[in-house]
Amino acid sequence: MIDQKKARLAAIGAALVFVATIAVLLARQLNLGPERPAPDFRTFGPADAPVQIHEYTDFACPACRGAAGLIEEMLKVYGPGLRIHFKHYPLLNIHPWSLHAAAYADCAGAQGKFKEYAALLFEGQQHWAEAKEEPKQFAEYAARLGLDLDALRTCANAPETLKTIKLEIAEADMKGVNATPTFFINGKRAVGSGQLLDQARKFDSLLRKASPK
Amino acid sequence: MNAKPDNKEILGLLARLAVGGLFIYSGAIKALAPAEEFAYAIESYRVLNAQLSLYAAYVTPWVELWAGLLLAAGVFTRANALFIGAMLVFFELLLGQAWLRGLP
Repeated sequence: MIDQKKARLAAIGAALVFVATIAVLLARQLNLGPERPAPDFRTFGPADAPVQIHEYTDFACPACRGAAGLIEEMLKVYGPGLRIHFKHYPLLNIHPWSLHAAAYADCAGAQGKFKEYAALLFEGQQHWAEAKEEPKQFAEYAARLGLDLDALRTCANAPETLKTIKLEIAEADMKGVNATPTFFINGKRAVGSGQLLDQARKFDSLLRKASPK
Repeated sequence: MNAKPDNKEILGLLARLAVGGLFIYSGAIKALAPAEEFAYAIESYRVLNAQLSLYAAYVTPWVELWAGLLLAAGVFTRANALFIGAMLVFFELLLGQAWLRGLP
């Protein structure tokens, strides 16, 4: 009698586990949509590189600052084997100035200084990320790099600039991005520097074949 | 034949539904998201490396979901309650070591 009861419970438990597993697997919608290329000033490395990394970043995120250094290092080591597509994914709910920072960086890119402006944004992120009003650092960095500030401001507030960034946010949402930095290395997802290194190791032979002897 | 359930039984049922529901919710939202996201959170406790964190992130949400489901449904209640209690203690230990080490 007791064994029968246990068997019935086990059958109910197995059925519940099975149904829940199927339901969750069916509800999963991960990594939808293609990886669209970033604008030219935000792509680094040769177009035909065997390893393509799409990086979703927020300028106010400390982990992204660490990852930027790592990516820089990887570009130096693997050179022709690697192409980086830098994508914006400002976390609007926790970083109030990330969207603006991304817009300023893109507009600096239009003036030929994306990489330099991005480096300054990462370097000084603790000074502007939590600012109450529009951070004065955005203009300071522009002055340091000799950019046309008026043009930069107009561009950073232009609907077209913000639209580009918001489209990238939507693209990332479709791919299930929820944290920064998130990378897609030839389509394989990695979140954070640790996973990036782990995934990159899997493409080691491709990277080495293409890198200078 | 059908005796009216006493307060203790009703309280037990409510507790089971609350704790089980919490585990179902917690497991489901993690199982629905990419495992790499949860792995990144596990990495931040600095107990496992990136690779092991990823393996843990593949398994843990399903274990939470199934254990919560079985507890809420009253299947092998005692064993499940013990298992969930052990999981809670383990999570608290993880949190505690992060706090003691002053991790961000």
